[in-house]
Amino acid sequence: MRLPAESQLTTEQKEICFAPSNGTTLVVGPPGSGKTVVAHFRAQRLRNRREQVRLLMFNHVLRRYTGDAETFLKWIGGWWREATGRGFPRASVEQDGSYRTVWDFRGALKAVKDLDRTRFVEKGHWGHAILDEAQDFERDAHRLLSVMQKVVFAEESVPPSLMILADENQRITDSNSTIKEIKEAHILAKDDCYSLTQNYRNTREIAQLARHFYVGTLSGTPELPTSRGDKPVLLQTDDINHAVERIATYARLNSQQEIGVLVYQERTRRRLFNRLKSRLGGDGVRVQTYRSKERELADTLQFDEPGVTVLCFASSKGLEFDSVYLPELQTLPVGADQNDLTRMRLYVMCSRARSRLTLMLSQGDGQAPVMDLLPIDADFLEEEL
Amino acid sequence: MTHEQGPTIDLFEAPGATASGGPEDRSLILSSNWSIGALLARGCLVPPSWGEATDLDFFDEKWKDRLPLAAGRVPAGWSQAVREGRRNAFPILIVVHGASTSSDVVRLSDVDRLVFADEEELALLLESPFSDIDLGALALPLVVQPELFQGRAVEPTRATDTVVPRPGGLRRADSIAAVRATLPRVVTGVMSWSSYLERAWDVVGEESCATGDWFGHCLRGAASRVGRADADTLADELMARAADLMVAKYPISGGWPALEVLEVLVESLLQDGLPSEEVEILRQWKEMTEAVMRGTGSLPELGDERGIEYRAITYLLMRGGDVSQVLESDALADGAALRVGEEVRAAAAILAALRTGLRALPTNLKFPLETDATVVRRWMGALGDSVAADLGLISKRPRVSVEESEVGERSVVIDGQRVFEMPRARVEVDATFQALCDRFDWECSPRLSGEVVATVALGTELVFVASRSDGRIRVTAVVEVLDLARRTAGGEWPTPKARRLTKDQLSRMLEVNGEVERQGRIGLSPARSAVVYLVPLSISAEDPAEAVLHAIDEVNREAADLKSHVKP
Repeated sequence: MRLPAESQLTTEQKEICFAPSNGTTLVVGPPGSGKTVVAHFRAQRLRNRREQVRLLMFNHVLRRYTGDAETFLKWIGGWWREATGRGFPRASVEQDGSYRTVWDFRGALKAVKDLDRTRFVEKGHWGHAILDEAQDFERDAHRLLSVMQKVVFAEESVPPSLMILADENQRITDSNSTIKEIKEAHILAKDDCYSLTQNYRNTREIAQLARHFYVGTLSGTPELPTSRGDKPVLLQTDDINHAVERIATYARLNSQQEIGVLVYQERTRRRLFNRLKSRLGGDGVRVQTYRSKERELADTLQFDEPGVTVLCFASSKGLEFDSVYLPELQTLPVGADQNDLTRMRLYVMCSRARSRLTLMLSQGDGQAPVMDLLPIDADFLEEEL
Repeated sequence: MTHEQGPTIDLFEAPGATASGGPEDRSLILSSNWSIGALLARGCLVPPSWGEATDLDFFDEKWKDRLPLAAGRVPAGWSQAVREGRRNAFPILIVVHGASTSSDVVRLSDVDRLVFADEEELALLLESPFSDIDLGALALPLVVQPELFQGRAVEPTRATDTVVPRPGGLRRADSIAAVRATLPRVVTGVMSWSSYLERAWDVVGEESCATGDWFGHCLRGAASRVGRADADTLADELMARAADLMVAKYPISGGWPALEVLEVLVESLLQDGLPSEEVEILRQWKEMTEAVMRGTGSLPELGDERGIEYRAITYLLMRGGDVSQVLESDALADGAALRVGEEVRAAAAILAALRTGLRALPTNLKFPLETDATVVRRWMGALGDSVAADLGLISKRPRVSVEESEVGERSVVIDGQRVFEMPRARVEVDATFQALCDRFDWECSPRLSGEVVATVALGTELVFVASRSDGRIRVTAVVEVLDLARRTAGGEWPTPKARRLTKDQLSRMLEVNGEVERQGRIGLSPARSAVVYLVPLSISAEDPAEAVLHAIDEVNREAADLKSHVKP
């Protein structure tokens, strides 16, 4: 993670950077508003004080990206065992006709009243926990942390603290939490809440295009940044090999850049990775990938280093790259019942780009349905033939 | 107008003030965690009217034209206004040395200590990790003295002798100061360090620039002196226009629309009504650069052989106008990488520094390497003073020069005092040459001169020249024939006169160089303070070891033979 420059911080980011570290603080903001940056900043500041800090992420790639974080589920399992001497409660849920085991936060909440409080206070103090992408944690997980903090540690002179960073517009599934649910779970007052409204990551041109795909909810439409950049480009490619050729040429010319290649389908990710690896391996350009079924791969990812990273869109949340390519966009599902979700996905993918964004379509003879979702205004998107 | 030696302006009589000259009489300037950044990151703090918004009404409106200055203590109302201005804003007092302050500027070189109202606020600032501020490295005294925030409120009076801020003046001064800060870091094996550094610190005196003096034309543009009347060639004017654009139109806070920057730069030159051949040069360059940026072109030529100005701007555009990215290496594994000349890189870095400005420049670029806090403060103090001088807020401009020692180490000297040693030139070691050295266990190292040298034996070196795609490496074998700097019998170094060669020796050397059969030639090496025998060789890492060692032995044998020719 890059540390923020004091001279570049917005007023609202400064307010959070200098916020007291006790109690619970909620930071709500759209993609690129600097939530992960302020989380990293706070963690660094507390570590400078030699205080115990846990930076907790939902997804593996983001954990790797921040460098010093751990995933929420891994942490909470270990923490619960340390504090209670038992394993975290599990439950079986039916999904698509089969059963799978999940973390049972509701069960954990019920178990709290029977816990050995003395042991819990002695061994369960987590110090300072920072939860990034907290909308991805289910509401009972938030309630559990809140109960711990406000009930179990209520009489302690220094109870554990929480900083929660969330953007409900980036929720992927229904089991994620809304901002309202997070506020209720943690019983937050107005003074505990901060909003980041300004886009800090993208250029104005990229944010304008991302805004076209925005499906607004409580966290509000992000303000357009003042920082300028080149206009995003829509490139019609002949096929996937043409896309690979263009990305490879750009990567060779811009060997200092972090380049993200984000796709919708797992199959496309694999094909692009293999071809880019073969095309660029000999040039010394690092090409890496990750898929959720091979979590150990996340530990091999290198961020803040030049190279090409090929990911499915779901793994790209919270990440940012100097340049982003979105190849094979014709694979995105389009239809009345899917358009909002597809727009949200496009919003997440577009907003990963710091300074350069290229959309790519291999649509053959006919027009790909996804074209209907793209802006027709040439001020937003420059079409390159 | 200067206030450097002016009287302290007492805005009120502080309760509990002691006799004149005591610590309680010290001048205080109220700042905050919102506004202190400029002092710590740039070395000087000026009022908001210069364009430095603090985002706190107390400063931006009530104290717009000058700094809130007091003596002994500040009124409690001031601190309260700061706290109420923003969430988590808190006041910080800047205590300056005696009477050496003004309400127009406070310089790091004048700061005695920073005072906080409580320990928590001190910790919040001290432990905050910013990329452009390193409070720890500056090692300013930081103290908690809540009583200094509890003075009696008075109605502030306006200063009458305030320098009127010039539009864009602070931005320009900040940009030029970034060049001063970056120069010791800009890698060069070929350019004149001393002259560039000294010229940057004395930029006011820059009157005219010679043709091809890209650095001079860059400073000219940074000072907003653009126009073809000041430039003999298109390249000279291109550099000046690019520098002006970096300062005035494309600061780091505004983002980097690279294609637009290129378009605007070319358009501004075309407006001068150029001759058709220059229009064609610009068109070709723009077309090539645009293709590179769009990712459709081939690797551009960015060596120092020609067109440094054009190549530097292409490189700057490719690297996002970012000074850190410009300074990083472009070497890729197979040797097919972008090869960037040191001067091209330096010119691009200076343009990027102009765009960044001193305040936003990361501390790892603006602080001297491996030096203690006293040095960092001295350097940052001088940089801050240079900004204040450029703004006309002080009259005494720091004098900065470079001193070179006998062994080639260069030090930055500020107002006659050596402050720090310049970082050694960074030279990339060619991978094939490195592999050859590893094979024979030769020590291989880059030198300040920019040469990469393998030490084969005492007095015998291989200087890397180039590597070819077929794996062969061109080197120059250098063997010392006569040491011109040998200590005298008395243990003293010889005087410069004693190092001189006689006419007789020189003529004998020239005779040797006239021998057609000889594979090498004799020469003088100032860096080695020696007469040397130089032989070009072509070696491959694949050559049998015996063949490589035999070639070097042959050179040594010839050199030994030549010693008799040049000995006194």
